[in-house]
Formats: sequence, structure tokens, C-alpha cells
Amino acid sequence: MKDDPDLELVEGCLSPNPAVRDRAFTSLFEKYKDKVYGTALRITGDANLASDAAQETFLSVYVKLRDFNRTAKFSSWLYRIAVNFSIDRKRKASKEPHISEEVGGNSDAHEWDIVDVRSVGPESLASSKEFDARIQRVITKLSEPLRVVIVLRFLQGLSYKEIGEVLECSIGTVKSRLNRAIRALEPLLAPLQQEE
Amino acid sequence: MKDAEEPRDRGPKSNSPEEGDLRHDVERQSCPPDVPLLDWIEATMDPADRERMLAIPDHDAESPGEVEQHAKVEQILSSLSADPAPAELWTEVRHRVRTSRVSLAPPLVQRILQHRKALAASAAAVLLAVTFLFTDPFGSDPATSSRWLIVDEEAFDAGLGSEERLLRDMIVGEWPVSGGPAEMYSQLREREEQAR
Repeated sequence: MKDDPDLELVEGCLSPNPAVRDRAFTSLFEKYKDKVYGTALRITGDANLASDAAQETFLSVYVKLRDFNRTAKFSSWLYRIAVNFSIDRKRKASKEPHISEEVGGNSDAHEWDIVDVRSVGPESLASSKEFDARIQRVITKLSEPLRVVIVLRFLQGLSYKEIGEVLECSIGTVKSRLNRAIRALEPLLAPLQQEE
Repeated sequence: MKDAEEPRDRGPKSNSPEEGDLRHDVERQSCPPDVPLLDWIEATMDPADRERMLAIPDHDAESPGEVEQHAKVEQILSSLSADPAPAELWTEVRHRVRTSRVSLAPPLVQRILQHRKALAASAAAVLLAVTFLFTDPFGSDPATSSRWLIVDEEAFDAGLGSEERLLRDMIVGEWPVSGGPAEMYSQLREREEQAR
């Protein structure tokens, strides 16, 4: 895709020069690491699974970048991999005995949280995190296809067209899934709406 | 909106993340390369989930009340942070790695090693370490680069378990093998055996 803003970095990743290659990959990683992790976190609902899925995603990108054919945007390709690995991880985890570390729960992610509480205030930080965690728990109740479109649309801010590219479906299908997802969420989010 | 009747606008097939499947037959559950991702998710999802999803009415005609309700849900979803902790998490990972030269591995690797013992789990740890290596998350300064482990190799070795030694071998070595993580792990294990 000619107007892909990441194309130059993608080319850099394929450079025969290791320094150029590593620099370009680092840039792509820096640009997308939080988006990929965030997507994985919202789909899996678990910080450990999300870390695994994010790492697998970037390794897969590194190894397979040569196969990326540039007819779609790099970011669409990346999200597709991330969604794929996230679903994969979540399904595997549901079949295994697993110590759950839900988003908003007692995970290392929170142990490592080094947000400067002086800048936001501890109470509002706790409250916003709690609110966030509650929405996450509601999203986790959605079926996988609906959860994925919600995450891509509202967490990552992708357009219908971009979501269609990631999931390889028509814009109509994207709209339909979003519509269903919002309808499913309405009763679940009602208590939160009243609090707002 | 009857998406089941819509012709699907397929994305580029050759951009599939699973071409040449990374994980071989170790844990193959991901979307095959020739299947659109959404189709795959829906075809392989939990039947009860599918039933629940299809039970949600899906139509465009909305009353003013419905439109308002939709807007409220969208507003709540839009308030979600894209990633509750990852930026801080990645920063902290880097910080810990930089400031603990003799620590065994990045904290995320340690965490995975603590919780996972099976082959697939080790593969996950390897994936993680490789990603760290190639993204050079420790900075461009040679003193803090991904090669830092060499500096404290002796102290490092003294505290290592066998899985961690495998990781170390890979981190300080060149990109070891061309196959997926299972193959990589098996080759590293072989080297470990030979070294004994």
C-alpha cells in the first residue's frame, strides 16, 4: 500500500545492513508495542497472556516481515497477527490449569506500575483504574468476535475499513458485529452509566 | 444488516501471519493462512458463545432512544485507556534490566520461567528473549546493550538454571537457528547436552 506510513520502516527492517535493520525494527516496536500489548490485554483479559501474545506477535513480525506483501497497511497486518495470537493464547489458557491474573487484578503489571501518583492524585488514579477494570470485565463477557471488534474500534481507534482489513471481512460485517457488540454491552454497562 | 448474505471483501491472503507456521505442530491453533481471520474466529468459537452472539438482534432501524443508548455505550467505551499499564511496564522492565547487570534475565522472562515448565512454555520464554534481543530494549549504548550479559558472564552463569542458560546462550549468541521456537529450543537443548 503506497500511502502506508510504516513502509519506510518496513523496508529498513529488510535492509542487509544489520544496524539499519535493528534500528528500523526498534522503531516499529516502539511505535506499536503498547498498541499490541493493549489489544492483547483487552482480548485475553490477562496481563501474562497479553505479554506472551505481544512477544509472539513481534517475533512473528520480525521473522515473517519478508512475506508481508504491502497490499494492506503494515499496521493491519500487525493487528491481525496480534489478534490471532491473543485469541490463541486465551483459548489455550482456558484449557489449562491457570493462575488468573485478570486486568485490574493482582498482576505483575500492577506491581510494576510506576505511574507518578503526584501528577494525577492517588484517589483519581485508583478510581479511574477501577472504572477501567470494570469495563474490561464487561468486555471480557462478550463472545470473541464481538470483543475483537470492540477492542479494535474503541481501544485502537481503527476505522471500519481498517478493522475490515485486519479481520479480512467487509465493512458491512464490521458494522454488524459492532452493532451486535454494543447491543450486548448496553445492559452490562447500565450500572456504570448510572455512576457516571 | 444481514452480513451473512454480503459478499466478503477479502483481505490479502498472503499477508497471513501463519505462513510457514512459526510454531509447527507444537501448539497449532491459530488461523490458517488461507482463511479470513473473522471467519476462523467465528467458526472455531465456543458454540454457546456463538449462540449467544446470534441471539442478539442485529438491525439498522433504531429508535431515537436506541440511538441515544448506543451513543452512551460508545462514550463509555471511548473512555477506556488504550493500555492500562504497558507503557509503565515496559519502562520498568528496561529500568530493571539496566540497573541489575547480574540479574538472570529480563523480569518478564523470569516470570514466564517461574510459571511455565513445559516445552511450549520454554518456547514462550525463548520468544520473549529473542524479541528483547532484536529490539535492543536495553539502549544503544554498548555498555547497556543487549550484549551486556557477556560482561558479567561468570556471575551470571553461577546463578543460572538450565533453561536460563539456554536463554543466555541465545542472548549472547547470534540468531541461532532459522526455524520456529520449538526447533530453536530443541537445538539449544542439544547444545546444552553437548556442553555437559
